[in-house]
Amino acid sequence: MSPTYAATPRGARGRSLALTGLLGPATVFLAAVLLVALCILLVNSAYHFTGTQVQPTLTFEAYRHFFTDPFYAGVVWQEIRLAVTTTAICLVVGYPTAYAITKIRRPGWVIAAYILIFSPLLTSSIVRAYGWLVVLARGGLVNWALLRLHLVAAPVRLLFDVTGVTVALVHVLLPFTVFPILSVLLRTDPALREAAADLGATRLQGFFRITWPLSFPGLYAAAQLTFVLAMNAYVTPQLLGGGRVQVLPLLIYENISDLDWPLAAVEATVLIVLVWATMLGSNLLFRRRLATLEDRR
Amino acid sequence: MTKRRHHRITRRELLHQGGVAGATLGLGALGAAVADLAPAAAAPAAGGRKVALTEFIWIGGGQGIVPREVKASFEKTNPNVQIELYEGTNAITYPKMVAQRQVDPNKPLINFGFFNVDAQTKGELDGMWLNLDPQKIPNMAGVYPSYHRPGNTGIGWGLSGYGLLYNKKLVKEPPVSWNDLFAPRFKGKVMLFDYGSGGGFNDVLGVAYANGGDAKRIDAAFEKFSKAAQDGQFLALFTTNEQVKDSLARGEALVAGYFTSFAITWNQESPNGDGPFAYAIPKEGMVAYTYYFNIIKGSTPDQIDAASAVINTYLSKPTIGRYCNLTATIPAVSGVSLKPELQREPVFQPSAVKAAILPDWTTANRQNAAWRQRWDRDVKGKM
Repeated sequence: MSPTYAATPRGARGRSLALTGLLGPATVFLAAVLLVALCILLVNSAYHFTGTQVQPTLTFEAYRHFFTDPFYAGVVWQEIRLAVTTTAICLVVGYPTAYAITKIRRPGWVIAAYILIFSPLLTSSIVRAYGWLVVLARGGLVNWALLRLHLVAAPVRLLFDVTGVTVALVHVLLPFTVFPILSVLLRTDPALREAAADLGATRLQGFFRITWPLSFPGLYAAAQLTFVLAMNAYVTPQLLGGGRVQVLPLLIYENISDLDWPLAAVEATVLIVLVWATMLGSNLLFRRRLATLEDRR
Repeated sequence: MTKRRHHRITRRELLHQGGVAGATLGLGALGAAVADLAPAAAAPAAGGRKVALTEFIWIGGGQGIVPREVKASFEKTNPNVQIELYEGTNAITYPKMVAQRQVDPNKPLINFGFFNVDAQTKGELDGMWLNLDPQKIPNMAGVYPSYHRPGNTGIGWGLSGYGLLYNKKLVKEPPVSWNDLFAPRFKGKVMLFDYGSGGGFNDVLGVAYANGGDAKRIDAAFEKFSKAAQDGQFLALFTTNEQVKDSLARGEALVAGYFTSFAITWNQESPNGDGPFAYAIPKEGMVAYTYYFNIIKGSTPDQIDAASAVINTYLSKPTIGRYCNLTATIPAVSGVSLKPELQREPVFQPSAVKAAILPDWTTANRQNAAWRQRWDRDVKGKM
């Protein structure tokens, strides 16, 4: 017999206490670490950099430098484009993949599909990036295939460019897209689709009227996760970008090496704000979308 | 004058350096076998009291072999000393040391170790290093005078020549000048070490000095790189050895500004020692990139004693010779034996050392952050 905490005020209190007990320690720990780290970051971002040393004098000059130099706007724009493109491709590829996995009946094939999808996570990001160096090079596998198929007359540049970085990011982030969608699709009650079919809906109608709307939570979670990870990617742009792909994590690393910590802290703050703003915006969008669906019902 | 002499190495010192390099090669002639490590000092380090040390060493390319041998040998003869090896790169480790100093200046992340000229100069400007005591490190006397830093904030032990690497199987006419990085025949086939990764500034400095500039007159060099980037001269900027090694080996890149020693070690790693790599010393001179031993402020007196003793072991001729032979580094210690293969290499010749560019690293380091931003904007941003 399952507990019915919410049935009485006492039960509700018990449920609340249980939730606090379960969530409390982790929430307090994570919030404390986050807040302390953010405070240090913000204080450092306001300090003065002499060119060789950081001086604990509040000047905010790193902010002025960052927001008045169009170079940084270009970097932010390139980063957003890269993250949006990667997320879009991951969703377009990931959704059908997740959907297809839910349709596989043989357990052996399901396991094989899981291994295939999640295999990128079994190797380190550096090893994966070096693998892409070989595959995407002018004399690499992709260019060899393109030439053999007479799709191009000469090898095309796939490496040391945004193309190669996008391809590699899609490869590494695809599992993070597939998993949230898959978990939502697997939770969808098959009886709903059966009921729709009984009432005369075609398979396509059943998908678009039942499966697709119900998979939205997974879709949003997948989009958010993929976008955040793409925004924070460091190794892939570093190794495959060849200097042509400049993103904030690379600049943060370089400024830390140069001991220009105020500028690194400003860049990190901007990155955090961008990611949080996107999360917040997409959450609002999601709620609005849910409300629209509720209205339709 | 004295101050300037301490921060920059004069032409006269360079000539002297060349003489020492010549003597070095002479002493190492006839294929002398690599000697065993020098025995540790007879008296126990730190008066026999228990002491734990963290030593910074470099990662990859055979860099860890000698430090591990020294650690084992030193700990055996000094059982009271425990050395923990901290492997990394200067670009990553030095900022961590600065961060740890902010947390607790009396508990440094590293007690002593190897640092390149970039970190050495940063540390001088930043007050990171302790003054080494020649009484505790008598082997400092064997180090070539121009590798002693003012106030003994560090002691040099070797240098690498930064020049031009190329694929000898594909490049029939080797590059001869820093300006060949911009030659039309290499268009789209040039790779450069990214500035922020600790090497790109060598290319900028090499081009600056080759065109009548120096660390204080760098604008013309940046303009050359900027224009070339816009014109598609550069294949890519690299940040790891594997990227440039792989691109050169496959012929995707033909030329790269980099440390000449890598052409030697990469060829040795190839089957039959016949790799496609070669290096050219630009006629204007290779950039001499020097390496130092340092002890970090905040270390305890016992740690300083023990670290000094370990550094003294490193600076013995057999030990530094073994290190240089394994890593194709030009020794800064006189009388060091080099293996015959290295003696034949042009980069080890006195004439090359004499003609090397020794940039004004103090100026370069003061401008480091500004130059890196300029590189990002004017070179990377235009590729």
